[in-house]
Amino acid sequence: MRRITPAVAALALLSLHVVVGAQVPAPRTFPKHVLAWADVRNGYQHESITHALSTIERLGWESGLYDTIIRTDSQSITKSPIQFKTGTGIATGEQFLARNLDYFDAIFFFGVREADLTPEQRADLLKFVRDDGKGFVATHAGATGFFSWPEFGEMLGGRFDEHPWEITNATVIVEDSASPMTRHLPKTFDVIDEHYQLKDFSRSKLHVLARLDASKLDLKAPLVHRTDGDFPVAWTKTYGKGRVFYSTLGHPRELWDTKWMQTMYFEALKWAMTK
Amino acid sequence: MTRLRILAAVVTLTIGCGLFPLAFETALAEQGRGGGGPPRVRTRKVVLAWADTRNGIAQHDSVSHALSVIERLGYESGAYDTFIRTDSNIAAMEPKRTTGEPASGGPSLKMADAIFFLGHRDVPIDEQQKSDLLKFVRDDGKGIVAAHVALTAFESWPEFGELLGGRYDGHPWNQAAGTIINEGSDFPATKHFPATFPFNDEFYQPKDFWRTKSRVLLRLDVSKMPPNAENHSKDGDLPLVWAKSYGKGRVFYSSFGHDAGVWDNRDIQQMYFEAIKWALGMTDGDATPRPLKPTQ
Repeated sequence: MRRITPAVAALALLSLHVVVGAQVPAPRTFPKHVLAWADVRNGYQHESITHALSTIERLGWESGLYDTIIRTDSQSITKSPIQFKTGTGIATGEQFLARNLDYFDAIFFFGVREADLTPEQRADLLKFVRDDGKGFVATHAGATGFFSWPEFGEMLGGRFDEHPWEITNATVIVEDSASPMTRHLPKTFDVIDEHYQLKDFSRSKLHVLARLDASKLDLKAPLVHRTDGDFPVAWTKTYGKGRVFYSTLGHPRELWDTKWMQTMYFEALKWAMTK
Repeated sequence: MTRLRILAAVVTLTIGCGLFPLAFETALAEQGRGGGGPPRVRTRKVVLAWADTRNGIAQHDSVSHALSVIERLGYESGAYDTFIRTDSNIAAMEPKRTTGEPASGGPSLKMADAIFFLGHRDVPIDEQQKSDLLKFVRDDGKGIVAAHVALTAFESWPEFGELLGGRYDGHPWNQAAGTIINEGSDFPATKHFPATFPFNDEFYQPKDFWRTKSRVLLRLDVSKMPPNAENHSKDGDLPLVWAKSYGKGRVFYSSFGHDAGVWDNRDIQQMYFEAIKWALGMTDGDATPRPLKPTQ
């Protein structure tokens, strides 16, 4: 007669009903780290923002390429140590796990309008890309960010200039079928989104991956300002040593569930984090 | 609209490899939002996933994964929509911008049905926000589901401890293997667990906890843990998961979730998902307090 030891009992339980195993598991580690930053306190929180952040997190988690810290505040936007004031808990004066920009390899940006950044934070954000050679991947409303800050527009490559057609179907023309970000897409395809008109961009400073087919757009819509018919949908560029990607696509929440869109942003992050 | 629907119906995508599962109908249903049109007709409940971690150690790398998992559980099941926020401006009936002006639409406690809370320690919220939060649960009958480090939140605010049902008193064994006793085999969030089961986590020890006010659903079997001077439990009771009411609202707390990997555990996901549904009033569960039964 064999005695049932606690270990055997535990094993039996585990086989019947799987919960975390008997050993304390080591936390997963990831080669890269992404800050999914969407400070929405001063602008409209698009319905898709949470789903986009969470999709970006899942793509990194499931692929094992990167882990993600999601923030709708801007505390992490600094290269200085993040410390705590007296009275904020036992961590007083210590850093613990508060991650600043130095920890991250790229930012995924879905902010809206003006976030409350100090001049030091602004300088550090630019340094992060320009001098540290880190990546900046921005989506949709990201182009509405920081109109009061010219250098941000320089880094991103352009600015939001209304969405003259609201949410509509439009044809996208892929200009670069070799880029890992767009090579999975057909030469032209239709997509429903809140398509943006962009301004303050120059094709001499950035590489357009895809644009809207202007011949199929209502160019007489009241808010259409462009006269050259150039409506980029996605681009890449460099900013100092860093890599920047922006795409207008991302307003409909369900768009983040499509494999092609996930591939575009995942590849963009991968590219942006390549040193 | 009609024109667009027809357009959507006749659009034929030139890709045959299945990379384009574009949900045109749902994309169309998004129309009229954010672009200045009429607000979307919301059919799902709204969960505010609120985790202001600006005060330190809870910027554990698990927090974002937890928020993301909670979002996915609601999104994929269709039970609720989630707004993830790591700032606290959102915790108000009338949220404000960083400038103090009214926020320009978006989520608020007014339109949320429950809070999933992973906040930590004291974060600066004003008296109006505190009163809004209590009112949200107590008077409006909304729900709050709090996880792990949330037990350390708002130490300087007594009423928050009342709402949550307990306070943080360390984690004597740090991350360790333990045996969990299920007292909630009839409760939606815990009925899928066996009567006892092994689990690894950083088990929090609560203080200011009363079995007369909360129903314990899961507790740690302290008798199976190595002796530890920081274990303050005199009667061997160490509640890990409980449910309670606060005024008209429903409150659920669970200690589980220190490491990000815990949030991938299907049983833990089910626990939090069912807890959220219960807090949203989508299901019922008996939160009547009851005393400790040592033989349980």
